[in-house]
Amino acid sequence: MIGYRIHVRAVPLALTVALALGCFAASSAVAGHMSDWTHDHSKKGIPPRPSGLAGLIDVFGQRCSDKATNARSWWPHADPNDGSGAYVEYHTYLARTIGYNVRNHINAAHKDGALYPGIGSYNCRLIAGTSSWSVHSWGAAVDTNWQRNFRGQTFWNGRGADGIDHGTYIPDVWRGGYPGHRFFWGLNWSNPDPMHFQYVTNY
Amino acid sequence: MVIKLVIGAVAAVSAAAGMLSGMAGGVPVAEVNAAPSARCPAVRTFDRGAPRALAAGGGMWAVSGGKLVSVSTSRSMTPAGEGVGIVRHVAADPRAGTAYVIDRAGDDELVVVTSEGTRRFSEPAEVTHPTWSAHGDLAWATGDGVAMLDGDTGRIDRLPAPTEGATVFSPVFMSGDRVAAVVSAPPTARVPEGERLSNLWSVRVDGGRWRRMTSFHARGDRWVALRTPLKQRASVAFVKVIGDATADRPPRFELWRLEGGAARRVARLSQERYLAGTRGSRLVWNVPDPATGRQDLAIERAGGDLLTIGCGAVMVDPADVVDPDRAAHGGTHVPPRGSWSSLEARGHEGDAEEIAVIVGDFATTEQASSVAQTILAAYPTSEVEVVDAAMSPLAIRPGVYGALLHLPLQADPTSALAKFRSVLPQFAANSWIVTP
Repeated sequence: MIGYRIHVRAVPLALTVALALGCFAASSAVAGHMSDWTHDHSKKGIPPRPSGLAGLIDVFGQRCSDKATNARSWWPHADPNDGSGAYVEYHTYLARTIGYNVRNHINAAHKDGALYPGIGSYNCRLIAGTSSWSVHSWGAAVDTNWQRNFRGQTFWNGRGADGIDHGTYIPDVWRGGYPGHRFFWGLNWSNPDPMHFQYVTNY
Repeated sequence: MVIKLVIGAVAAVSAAAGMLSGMAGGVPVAEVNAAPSARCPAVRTFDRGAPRALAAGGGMWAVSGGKLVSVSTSRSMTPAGEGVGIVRHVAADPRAGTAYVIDRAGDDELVVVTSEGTRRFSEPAEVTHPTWSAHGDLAWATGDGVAMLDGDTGRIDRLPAPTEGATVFSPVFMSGDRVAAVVSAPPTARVPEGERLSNLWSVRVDGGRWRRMTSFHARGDRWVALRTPLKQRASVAFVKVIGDATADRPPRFELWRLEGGAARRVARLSQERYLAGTRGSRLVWNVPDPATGRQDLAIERAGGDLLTIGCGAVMVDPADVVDPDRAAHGGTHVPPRGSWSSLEARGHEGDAEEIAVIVGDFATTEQASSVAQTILAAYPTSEVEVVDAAMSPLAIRPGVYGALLHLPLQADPTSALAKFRSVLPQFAANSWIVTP
């Protein structure tokens, strides 16, 4: 992959030209094969995953803070209203593993069509009926394809926005060990939540 | 102005590809050992007479470290027969006895201890918030409704939720023949989980139609949650929590009182807290420690400040034990082993991938360029560029532009963004960490 980078001492004309060149180069790169891209399995790429509420606070800090929204990536089909693309915001602790590992993985495998509305991460809310805060309040969980995988459903519906059944492709990228990315899948809970993937266990 | 085009290979990716360990390496399995603790200080166990103390229902009881704790005597006991569950939500009344929930993965159990002995009620539901009436009747929530145990006949009646899909919790007796509960509105397409709106509703204990007693509303991102209603003389006190789901600021907490058919705000609360009971005419609060989640018990003094009187969860979820419904073990939906052809992508375990700070979104390249020059002035040795969705498709949406500051390979994203915002505070509200 080769990209064109512009040091911004450039004049506007140069910027325009460079942008055009960049567009061409980047388009070619995006159209490449999975082999063009590798997981970041460094410790920063897949950081330690906390356990329990105290561990969650220790790693991610206070809930509903700006740190929980300070990283973002662009996800097609994310908007639950019309299926258009939307930003997903999450904690900077997960910047590499969500932004690079998971999002890039799906994109590099040409599987964006496996996504389905809605998709989101940061959401400052109490869990319904409890005094416990949702892991989304720390930007440490992602709900994906929720319009086909609502809470309480006991299975994963893998049909994506492209109308194809992708099986458990999307959960497989998020969950567990290699080649997943260590997110805990809510389908494992006794009150199943198939849309839900979180970077903490025992909470 | 110097025009400088840097043909920058995204070399780290390709270079790292040659150093792969492949499948054998797998993902590091590091876990964080939680150094802080949500545990309460230990208290002595009852030497003897714990069952009698439970049956007497005197004083305040709470749950701590998986044990029932008598707050007034600072003694604890491990409930018999709890099995693999955890204890939570305890209601004690000197006129009746003590009731508590054993939360298990799946079916839960309600344990009722009175002078007549101990009774256990297994429920195929999430059991929460037992509460006594003045006449010795008991109510508890099952999520989809309220269950009522007649203290005289032992008969159980069930009152289904007023709205299909709603979550019902925290029942409280308004009188001998009427019970109120918090009803949380069903999920929607925009809010698929988490609390969006709750109100207090009431119903006759012998059935009939539910009647809504409060009229709180939630619009857009705004959500309203009611918690821990508590009967106090002729009124019901409760905590109202108001938040904005996508805003990065803490929700507000308020004490409200429902009296004579009208709800009014009594006070804004300075911190997160929930009602736990009363001592005389004063309210007792569960106050979570923001650093660990530990639930302290505190009483409000005349000046409004809080005096800690103990530790443990009464009608809130204990933070020092794992909810069996959310425990990590036992899950069956883990990745299969073997061929994963559709997922094939190797991993590298050397340097971390590059991240960047983006400032956006701008309608024109000129706007983005102006910001990029400001960034470059503050970071003269760094690489700064103007990007759009074709160049950075995962970092920015189509049709807009951003100014991108590349960070060193090993940069810590949290501290790098904090530094960026301290150096260039004018971009604090529209800067994020992204993958370039």
